[in-house]
Amino acid sequence: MESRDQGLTLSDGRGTLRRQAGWSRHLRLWQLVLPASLFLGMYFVVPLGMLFWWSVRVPGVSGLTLVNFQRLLTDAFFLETLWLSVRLSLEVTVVTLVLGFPLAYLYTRLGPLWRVSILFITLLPLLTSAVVRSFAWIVILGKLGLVNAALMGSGLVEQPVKLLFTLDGVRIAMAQVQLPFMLLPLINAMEQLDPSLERAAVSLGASQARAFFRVTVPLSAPGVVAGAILSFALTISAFITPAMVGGGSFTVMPTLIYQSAIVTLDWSTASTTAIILLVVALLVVWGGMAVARRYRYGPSRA
Amino acid sequence: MPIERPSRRELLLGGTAAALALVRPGQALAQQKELVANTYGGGWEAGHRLGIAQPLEKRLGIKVTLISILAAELVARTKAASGGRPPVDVALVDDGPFLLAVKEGVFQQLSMDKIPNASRIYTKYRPKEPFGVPIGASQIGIAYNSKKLKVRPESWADLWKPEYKGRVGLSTPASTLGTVTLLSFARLRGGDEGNVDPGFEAVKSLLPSVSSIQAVPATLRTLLERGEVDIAPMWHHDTTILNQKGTGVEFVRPKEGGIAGLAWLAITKGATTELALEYLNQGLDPESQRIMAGAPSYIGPVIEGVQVAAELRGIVPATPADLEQLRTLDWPKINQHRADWIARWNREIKV
Repeated sequence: MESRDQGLTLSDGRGTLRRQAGWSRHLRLWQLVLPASLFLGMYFVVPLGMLFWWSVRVPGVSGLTLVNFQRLLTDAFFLETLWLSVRLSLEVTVVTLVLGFPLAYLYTRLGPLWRVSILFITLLPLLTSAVVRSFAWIVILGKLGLVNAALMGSGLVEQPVKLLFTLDGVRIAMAQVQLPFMLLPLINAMEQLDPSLERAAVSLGASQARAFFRVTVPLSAPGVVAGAILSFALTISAFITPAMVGGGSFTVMPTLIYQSAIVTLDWSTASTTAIILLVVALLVVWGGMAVARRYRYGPSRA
Repeated sequence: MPIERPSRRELLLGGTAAALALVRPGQALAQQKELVANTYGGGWEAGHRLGIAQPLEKRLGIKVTLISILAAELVARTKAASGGRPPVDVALVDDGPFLLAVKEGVFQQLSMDKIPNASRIYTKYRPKEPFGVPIGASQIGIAYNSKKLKVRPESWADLWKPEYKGRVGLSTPASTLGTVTLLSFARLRGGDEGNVDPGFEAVKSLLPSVSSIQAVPATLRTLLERGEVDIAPMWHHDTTILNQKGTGVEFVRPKEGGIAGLAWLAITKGATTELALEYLNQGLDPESQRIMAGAPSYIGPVIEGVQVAAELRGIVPATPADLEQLRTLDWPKINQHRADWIARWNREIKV
């Protein structure tokens, strides 16, 4: 066993020996991840490569072309749809953050029974399929659904509120299912925080609120970033919930991909749409991370 | 080390072997004499299980696995798997996706003499190209809730009646149901498969009456059941299933005639052909057709001489007289334009 740690114990930096040990260690690590790499290679890299390949091809034309991109990116309706998808996903992310942050904070300060209940209730929606969940939302959000029955029964509204097959309905349904993806990283980040930091801030004269916003909030930034990335990525790629809870009343990017990939078998358009969505989503995530880094280590500390 | 542990190399080999085993499930299937076919789930699955899979299992001593995949998705998946093992041996697909799949070359050409029962098929339903056999006939008409609406609709034109305002449901042309709806509206106003403009104009003029437009027909069915929508173009079997639940939802064949939709059975390239042919032949057997025409699938027979229950007459299309009332669509032409129609619908039709 002792030979295995050679790479670490040689800390005095004696050139080649250390590098060799480092290399063999790397090699060993790579062997360990070989099955995972094979799996990812076969089921992720290859399909992604095929996606790129299809996006630069037009059926019946030889050679590579960018006409697919040109056609889609100059189409006002396509750009509108892209913007709607990005906006909807950002909104859902904000909603889950607003709901999830206090919940995670509460979680770290409650006893085990409460903790289990919070986890159980937020994770429960993940145990059913998106289709079943969407049918449940139809029952809850409909004109004759639970929400409207409650609103009208209590005399708050005269006419049923239109929630089903609207963007609001989709925001509600998506926020519900994305909440655990925001909550879990937040809880993880907050549990690493030492509660005495907040107490120290208070004892040094900060108000409770100031301590929360200046100490707890910035220190949970890694959890916020992780949760926001998950929630954004999962919302922008969601197909079933927007299709079922949104009805046919608006179009999001995954709807376009489904229509060309499945209904009309136009894989060039489908792949191009998917690549554009992927790039835009990555840009948004990257931008969000850059902002988060600034927030944590940037001006506020200086 | 107190416990004998597998070496790293053994672990590696084991992991890789396991990964490879996951990749090749087809091999194991072939040895078990198993046939895989898709259905659309729900009533279709029950009907095909009782009418085709079970008699075949009993007769040949094989195992038939039915999986639930909708037609368009099945065609896309089969295309994606071309060259390898297809997702099913026998595919169940609607007219539009069937022709699309034939064009993509993912189905085997059939020699009809290997399917003796194919000679029983109604002339009207006979395949023009030998890549599949029809297994069931459906019609699209109007489903309406007789408990909530006083006036029974008689024609497609009745959807515009003021008493149905705010009660109408529609489907987008991404589904067969929605495409047929668009075309029947187009025909109502002098259009056809080559000129769908009147259809779009008709949909737009109907919008004030429309409560919701659905991308997934199953959702529209749920809305009818829950009374969120009270009148909608709908398949006869979905409507009948709702009716049998005591919802008051009834099927009306519009006076212009219902619109026929055929479900086809085809054999994928790479399938176990012999068994698949048996499946097709079994499906066209008079007894199988009779079973599928009843509860809970209500699929119209494609051969002559199958009796349907009295309360289903005129709804489940079965007799030559019923066929007279059915209008067929030009699906090759529809497929040419369908992508444009879907794109145009996305842009122009908003509730």
